[in-house]
Amino acid sequence: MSNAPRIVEVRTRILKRNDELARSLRSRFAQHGVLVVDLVSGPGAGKTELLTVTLKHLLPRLRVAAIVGDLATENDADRLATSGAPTRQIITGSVCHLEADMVERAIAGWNLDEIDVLFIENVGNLVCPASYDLGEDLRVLLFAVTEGEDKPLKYPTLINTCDLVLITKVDLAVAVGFDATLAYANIQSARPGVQMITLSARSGENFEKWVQYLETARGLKAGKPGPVIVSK
Amino acid sequence: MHELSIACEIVHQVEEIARAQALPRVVRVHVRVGALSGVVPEALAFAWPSACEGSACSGAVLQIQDGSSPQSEDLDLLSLEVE
Repeated sequence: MSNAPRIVEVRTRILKRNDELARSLRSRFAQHGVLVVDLVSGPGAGKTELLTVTLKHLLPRLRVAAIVGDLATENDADRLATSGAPTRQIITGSVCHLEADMVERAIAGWNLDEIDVLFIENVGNLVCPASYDLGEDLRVLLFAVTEGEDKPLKYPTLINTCDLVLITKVDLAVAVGFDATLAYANIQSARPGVQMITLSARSGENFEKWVQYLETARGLKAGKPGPVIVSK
Repeated sequence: MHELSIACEIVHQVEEIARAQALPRVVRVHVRVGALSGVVPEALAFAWPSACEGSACSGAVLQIQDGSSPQSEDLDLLSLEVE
């Protein structure tokens, strides 16, 4: 036996464990027809407010549930619970993103047959959540008008993984001098062709478009047509 | 700053491989980090010694290479050097 160095080829994804767990979660969600929507943004873009209002809008028609990740406190779960939907808080300690195993633990004990749409409110962070697949169907990125128009250019990684961009707090657009044309152009340059909805959870502006988007996605997931059918 | 989590995942995988293949001492761990992987190579290198402490990677050098293309999302464990 010599001690000469030798190379052992590996060639695997570093996040293989997370990816495999996310795949198994995705398969479970599919079996039960649960649409899973992951909300990501920087801190303060309005995820919790948007989600609380969204849950209230959907509740009469769909069975919805939400899990929410934060480094500390159960404040967000308490706010979301005011909607009447089942909610659970994930406290990540010092971890700056959610991982698939946190989602798996958070939904333990919930009967997935009784959930139509599961929302995951990720930790407020525009960088780290990009790397972690949670088994979601849709990753929705929020930018608030108060964040400025160039956020999409500053954080290209996360926007590059998302399916829909919500431009939130549009009721404040005039007050902060928000340049919508520039913001849209920046979003499209970072993620060409991505769908965008500009809305406000407070004023209700365009909120119905977002709700319709979700109902359509849920209909497609469950194999039933939603209220809006996109034809070829 | 999730590079410490990423470093811990690398250590975990290396330990599994070392155990399964009864590998001798790991002296180098070769990874690939693409520009759009969301991982900063400098931060990963900074986190590496902490993640390695007391593990099969203890004392091993982390070699980080660029992604396979300029816009790559690569985040791969490529190979190990053992002796």
